[in-house]
Amino acid sequence: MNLIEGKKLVKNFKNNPVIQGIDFEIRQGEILALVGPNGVGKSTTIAMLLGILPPDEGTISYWRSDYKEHIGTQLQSTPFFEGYSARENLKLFAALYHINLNDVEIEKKLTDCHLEEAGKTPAVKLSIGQQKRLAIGVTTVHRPELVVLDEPTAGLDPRSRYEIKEMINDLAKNNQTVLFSSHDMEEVEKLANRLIFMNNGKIIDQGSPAELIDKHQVENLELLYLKFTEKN
Amino acid sequence: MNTIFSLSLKSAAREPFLLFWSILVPIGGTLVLGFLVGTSDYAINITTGMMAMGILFYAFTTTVFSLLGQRRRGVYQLLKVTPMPLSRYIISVSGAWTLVSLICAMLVLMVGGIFFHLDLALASVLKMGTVCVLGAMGYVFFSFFVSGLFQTEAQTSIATNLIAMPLLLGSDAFYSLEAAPDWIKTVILLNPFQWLLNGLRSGFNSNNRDWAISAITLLIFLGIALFLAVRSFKSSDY
Repeated sequence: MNLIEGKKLVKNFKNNPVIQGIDFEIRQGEILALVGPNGVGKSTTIAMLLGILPPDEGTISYWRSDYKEHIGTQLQSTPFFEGYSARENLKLFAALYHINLNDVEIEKKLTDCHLEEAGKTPAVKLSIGQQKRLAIGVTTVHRPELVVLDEPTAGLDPRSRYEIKEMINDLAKNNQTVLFSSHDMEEVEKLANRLIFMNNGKIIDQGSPAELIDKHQVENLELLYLKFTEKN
Repeated sequence: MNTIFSLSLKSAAREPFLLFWSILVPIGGTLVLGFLVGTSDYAINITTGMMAMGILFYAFTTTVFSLLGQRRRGVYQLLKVTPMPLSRYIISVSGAWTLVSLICAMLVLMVGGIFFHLDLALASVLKMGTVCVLGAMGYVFFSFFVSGLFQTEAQTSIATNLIAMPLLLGSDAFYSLEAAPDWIKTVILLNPFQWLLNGLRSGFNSNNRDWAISAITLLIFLGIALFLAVRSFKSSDY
């Protein structure tokens, strides 16, 4: 079953075509990676699929009418509420999904994010790695069926990247579908069941990492990335 | 909605700008200027002037920066992907900020009442509280509009000063404008800060007719500010 399906999506910014007629689906239970260089339209695609930006052309269909209740989203900028602690941000994000978290539930969530000691720290003052972990915590506070993470490991040290990858794997183990965007091909190869490669607002190719490596006769996804982004 | 309201209230109470500009400065100003001038008429004028100033500084200036910070961090973008209607979020946050403004104003009134022995009847306090709520809500909604116009704190700082200072200085909060030229007196009729002052003073003096006119004018200001806030939220940049 497809959770989200986009057909012939087009988006222009000030007459510049950013997305040029892409077809896109997110299948239930998969870890789907959206891959491509900066500025090729990954975040715009995610924003359209989530309803933040309306497409100029094309249609998007969802697996249920109350889909917003069942999607958890971490945008690139990790928008925590300023002036609120990590605990308060968890409570506030839960309230946005009509959930009233009690203290025990908040503590458990903080533990899941390895933030036991940082509950009272203002969220915007946490380290980048802690902020990313909290971002996944607030994104999944309502146990969504689909989790969308826009560059969850960008700018992180190896330890923090490892912890985020573990969190993404845990989501998959809980039968949650994950869509994430990334530049790190090693991470994509390890995590994703399927990847969609974008360049210049178009989908260049898609499939499982093994399928794509085999199809394009390359040793790994990093070489495939270089092949796809090769300048003429 | 209750969670958002209570967390907003809690966060607002920790805001150092609030403590300084909307509590300490108005209370200090009321006491210093009130005792310096030393007349009972001036005591009520300066108390109400400082109440209105505290509301302006919190409900407009402080909230503009809070909203700018939230917008720049993408909070409003994120709200679009949650099931929480944006209007409910705005009502909860605005309600908390309005309540904070009311509490600040009532603190100033309480201090003025105690030190200058003001005769504060319950009906007067209720009328003053009503115009405080109307004025504060108008300023909060106006701050949603203003914060949507600018991208940086520097731009916002200039804009809030350019808006707040003329409102403050073009009113009789601290000095009489009886000797001012007629054109200034006409311009002042458009100043929502002056109508907040008029409402507070007529509420204190139990002048029901003037109080009702002030309340209606503030209600119109609130309606215009709400319209502008909704317009700015509909723009894709917010």
